[in-house]
Amino acid sequence: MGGEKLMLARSAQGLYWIGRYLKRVEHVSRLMELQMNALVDCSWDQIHFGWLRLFSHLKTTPHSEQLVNWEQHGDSWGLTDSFALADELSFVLENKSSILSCFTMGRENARQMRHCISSEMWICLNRAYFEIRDLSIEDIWTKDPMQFYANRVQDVNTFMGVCAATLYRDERWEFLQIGRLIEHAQLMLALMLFQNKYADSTEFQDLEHYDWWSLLHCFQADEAYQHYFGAKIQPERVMNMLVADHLLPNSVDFSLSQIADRLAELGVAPATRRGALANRFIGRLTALVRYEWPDAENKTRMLTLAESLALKLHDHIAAAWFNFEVDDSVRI
Amino acid sequence: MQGVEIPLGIPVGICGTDLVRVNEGYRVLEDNLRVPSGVSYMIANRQATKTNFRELYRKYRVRDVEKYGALLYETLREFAPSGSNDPCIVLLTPGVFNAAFYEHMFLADEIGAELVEGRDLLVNNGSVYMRTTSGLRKVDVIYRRIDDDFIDPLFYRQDSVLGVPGLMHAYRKGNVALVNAPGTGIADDKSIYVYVPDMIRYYLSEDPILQNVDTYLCRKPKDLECTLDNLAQLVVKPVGGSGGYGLFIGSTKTKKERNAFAKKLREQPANFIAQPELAISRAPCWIERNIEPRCVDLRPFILTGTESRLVGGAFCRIALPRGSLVVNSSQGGGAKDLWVVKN
Repeated sequence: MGGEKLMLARSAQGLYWIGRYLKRVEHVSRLMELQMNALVDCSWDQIHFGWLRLFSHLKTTPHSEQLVNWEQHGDSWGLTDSFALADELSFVLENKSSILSCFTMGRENARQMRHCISSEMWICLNRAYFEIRDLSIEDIWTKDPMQFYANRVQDVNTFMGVCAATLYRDERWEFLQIGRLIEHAQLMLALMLFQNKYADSTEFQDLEHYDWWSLLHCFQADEAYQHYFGAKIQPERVMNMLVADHLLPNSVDFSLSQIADRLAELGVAPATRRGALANRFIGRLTALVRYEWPDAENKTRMLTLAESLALKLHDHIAAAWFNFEVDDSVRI
Repeated sequence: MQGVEIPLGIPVGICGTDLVRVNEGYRVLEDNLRVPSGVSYMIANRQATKTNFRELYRKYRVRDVEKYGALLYETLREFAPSGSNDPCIVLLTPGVFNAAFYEHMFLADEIGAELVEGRDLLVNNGSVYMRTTSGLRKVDVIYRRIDDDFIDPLFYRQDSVLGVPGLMHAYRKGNVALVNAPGTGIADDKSIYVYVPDMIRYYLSEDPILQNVDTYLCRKPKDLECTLDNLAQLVVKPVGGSGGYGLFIGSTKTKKERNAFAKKLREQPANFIAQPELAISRAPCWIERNIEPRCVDLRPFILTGTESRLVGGAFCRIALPRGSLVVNSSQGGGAKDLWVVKN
């Protein structure tokens, strides 16, 4: 339409964080659903591995005092602790990665940005938040915990669908998407790093097949994998797919190329130098994942480097668009 | 504000005057000239009425209140110092924890202005800028919903984190308009209220159309004596108060309480005014599945730029407890949709 409508840096930041928090809700919910499934029929080792993977890649430790085995067996989280560990990642507000905590923070950002989002988005997010706000782990544990987590994924998908249907495609859309995509890239890289670290470990030798398959399923890649590679699970192939398959919507590469597109749409940042740095970082990351990854022998090193670049990318975006120095900034 | 040239020479662009109807007709209860609030409820109530009483509403030719946003935008635009046709207007809010945040958001949306907090603005070379994703954008008009005390920590309260350091400097240089202007509170102080009819006569050479409520200025010895003698029939108000806080309604108090208050009055008479307890008109209200009478008052919002503008309606407040005279929403008051019907 051509009308000039500028966007407050704080509003952009709020939308960015809505995207991040809700992506985290989705990510944690997906893995929690997987873990609840594991509790039904998996070995003690598999359960332990699942919890360790969840907490480690989210870079969080349980606060709960109800853990039974934690003190006695170091990091041996098993069936007896699962109730408390599930609570920790679902309803404990002190845990910044818990589903309720992320929903609360996402909604709080939306509350302050209500004038920037559509009313349908607000209603959708509010409804999802109030559905879980007063629940506790006791409420879901004996009923259908898997369904609870599946519903949370559904909530986020619905919200993103409402965004896609109702949000004006200006900078608001771009920042919401950038937040969502950066969160996804960071979480996937951390998850793959953990997974890769334990892939060769003798400690979890028996888990291999189950665990790689479950990850494919968790990130909606199982059907594509079967279609292209058959039923035989090869860890390296799974990892390649989740990291570097540009056709898989949940892959790291897909997220990175989307971020690059979104940054290109935004154009010049108010802090031009930091904006240019953000663009360079996304270029490096994309090149790393797309061109260096396939031939790299040391995948752990690659993932470590990519994870650190993704963290710095956030810093550059924040400095370029949200918290820019006044002296560096463009005057309109 | 000596030496400050106010845009358009108008310090009060947005005025919310409280009116009540008594046996003798309408009376001005008080003027709100600082940051009057409640207009969003006027519009929200109308929208609720139109949704729930569609046929009834259609039968009457009710004047529109929903064009308030357009009128407000027109008014604010006229305050732009540069005379630009497309000025940058922002609404300055204390933030999400303020009780009126809903209204701030609503109005920002209505006028297409950016809803900013103090931290979104900065002063550079005597001009105010807002931080946008495209850089720093010069701001022309600030519709401020923050009290004077908090708008500039360099000028007023130093501990304010809500305001913009240097804002008053930019204002004094004439680079930004503040609506309403700082200092307007002096004109809606309750001890000034008594003199408003005289001011109208003096400055406008006109007689006021709406009368004030009879008021005793307790700082005058004679008025103080009258107040003390008739405390049981009077409502005593702190001169700088708002929101219904600090009201002393003599008829609802015991003798002991009245004596204690009389002592306070004698100690600081200049801090109080007294008015007779009014028989405010009541309207039927739906209270707990019954229709019951409740006291109401009206707050029309008068916008003044190059001309005065107002919509055909007002924010109508009701005192929810039975027999209560206090309509303030901060004291548990409610609201109704008020219809001004076309002839």
